[in-house]
Amino acid sequence: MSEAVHEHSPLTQFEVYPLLPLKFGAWDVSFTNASLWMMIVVAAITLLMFQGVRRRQLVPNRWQSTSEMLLEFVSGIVRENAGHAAMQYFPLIFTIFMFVLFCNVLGMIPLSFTVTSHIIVTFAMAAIIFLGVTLIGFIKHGTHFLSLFLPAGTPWWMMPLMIVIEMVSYMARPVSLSIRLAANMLAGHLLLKIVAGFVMIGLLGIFPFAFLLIFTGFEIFIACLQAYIFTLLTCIYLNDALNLH
Amino acid sequence: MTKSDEPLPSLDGLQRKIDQTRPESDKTPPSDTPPGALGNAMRLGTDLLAGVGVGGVLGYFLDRWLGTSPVCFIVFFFLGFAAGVRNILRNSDKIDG
Repeated sequence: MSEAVHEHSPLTQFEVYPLLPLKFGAWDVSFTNASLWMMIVVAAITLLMFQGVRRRQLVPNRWQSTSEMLLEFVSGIVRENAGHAAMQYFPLIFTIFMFVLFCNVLGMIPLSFTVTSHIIVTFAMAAIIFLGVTLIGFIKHGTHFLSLFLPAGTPWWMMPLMIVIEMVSYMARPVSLSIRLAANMLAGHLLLKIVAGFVMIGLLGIFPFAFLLIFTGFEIFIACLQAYIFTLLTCIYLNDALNLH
Repeated sequence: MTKSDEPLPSLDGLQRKIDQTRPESDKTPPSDTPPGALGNAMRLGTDLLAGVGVGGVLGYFLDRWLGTSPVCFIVFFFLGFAAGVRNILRNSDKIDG
């Protein structure tokens, strides 16, 4: 691919390139633009939360109000979908929510890099959730946890089939969780860039430009919605492990 | 909520303290807005896709291991489809009620 074509490709925004090449044995552990944006995300979250608790007042300032709102929102999701007992795992779920939300929203800044548009990032998070939830289930219920794979009221002649189906559906969870987030981010950003390419066609370019204006707002909504859905499904999976039917 | 999953004692104490401090008007839990039809619709596609995908991959590797190509692939492809539909049904249960 020639350089000129490459420069204007809508896919350029997803390119991962090393900023600081590093080798650890045989592994390439370079500090990339993805690493940089993950660190920016973590720094932004840390700034928000530290500013939020720095001066605790009865009448909160903006920092405190924002961090309290986010905290109450996530604790509401956890309570409603996984019960009070799941509040033990609230720190992990809140961390996941904040990380996904900030990755998605900071990805909307022009020229930034959307970490969550890469399936390996979302799959790593989904795999940790999947393994963690499975482990919690086995620790809480022992081998009784395996009854998750048998829906109540299955006729005996359907049992072998249902167990296999349930196991496949259980294994599909981390895959659908990660694909959903990455695909939404990827598709949205791709569409924004492609439509932006049509703005330069002349006077009629006003139509794609108007579409872009509206769609950028919609993308910000999607960014928040996907963070919510990711957290919600984490809670639903956690609920399955904590409260067996 | 099951009895075996008592929350941590520190969390329990904190919840009591919050309940005492909170004015009576705040006690009713805030009504949550439903996730919206759009969010649901977008989840269905990936649920189905992931089921079929996982089933297919699982069948493919079972075939490689057992040398029964393509029996396991075909069987697990359809089992994966069933699993995807099962996931959709389960998730839509959770959301509506």
